[in-house]
Amino acid sequence: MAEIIEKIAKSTAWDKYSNEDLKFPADSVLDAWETGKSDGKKEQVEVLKQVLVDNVNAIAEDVVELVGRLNQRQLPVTLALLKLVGINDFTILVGINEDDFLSDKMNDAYTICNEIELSRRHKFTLRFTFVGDDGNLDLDEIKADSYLLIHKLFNKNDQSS
Amino acid sequence: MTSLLNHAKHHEIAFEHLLQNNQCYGWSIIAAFYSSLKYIESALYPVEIEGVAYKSPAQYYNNYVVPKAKEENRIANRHHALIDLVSTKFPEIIADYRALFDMSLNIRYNSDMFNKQNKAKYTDIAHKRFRAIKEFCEVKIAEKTAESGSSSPENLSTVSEA
Repeated sequence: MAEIIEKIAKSTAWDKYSNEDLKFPADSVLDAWETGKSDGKKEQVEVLKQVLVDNVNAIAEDVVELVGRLNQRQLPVTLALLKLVGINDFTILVGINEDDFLSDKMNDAYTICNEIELSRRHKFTLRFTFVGDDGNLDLDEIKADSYLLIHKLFNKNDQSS
Repeated sequence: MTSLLNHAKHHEIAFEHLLQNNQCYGWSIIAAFYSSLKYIESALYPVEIEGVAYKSPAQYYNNYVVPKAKEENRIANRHHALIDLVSTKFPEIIADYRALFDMSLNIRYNSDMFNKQNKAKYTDIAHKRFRAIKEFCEVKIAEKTAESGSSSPENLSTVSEA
């Protein structure tokens, strides 16, 4: 598990959001990879890992698109976190300023995220979910729900950018 | 449809009670969401997908969503399956439904949810979105009821109850 998270953090626009070795939903899939490894199916394991990294890279681009389109509508994004549900299943938690989250402007946000989700459906399942950010989000609770990667755009600790 | 509608009304009573008594605003949002979910299911079913009629949410999920997810090596999820149905069948209310879904799911991430000064804003927007969904669904349910005298189209296959 730690290995694939490190690989994603090094090679994509996502950073580790938690240093704890937390279990998350994709663990069962990744455990299957490890079984594959022991069965001598190393090539297959590497192909699956690359599929995951490619998907995560594509989703990073989707986040940039979403942030840009929401900015155009005066809906600034405060946070974008990724949950790996499976190799082909992902959820993004998007923070929106609470006053905006509780306004009709969110109708546009849902139209846009629906479009982006559908554009990826042929390849993988992507779901956006929004939270009103009042500056007091319980980040430990969020991490415990398996949002373990943060988009570099929102990583205040990122030294590389 | 009647059972689903009874569920919708049951959750609606809970929502209205909490709203009127200004209590447990987090639960009031969750009740609004579940009432909306059941109103939508009442309006949707029986639903036709790719030439097949599904009588109930469980039948649709077990006989369409799960096999399709397995085929595509993806993970099936009932909430997401309904969001996809609303998106294609009732796009007019997809933003209202997704907003209620997100509010009910993610309100727990607000660490000061019990002391919020703007609780009324949350319940106001939840109420507004709930009303939009309920009114839309009531029209659809009335239309389905009016059509119920006619039988299923001849070229439409149906899935039998498990």
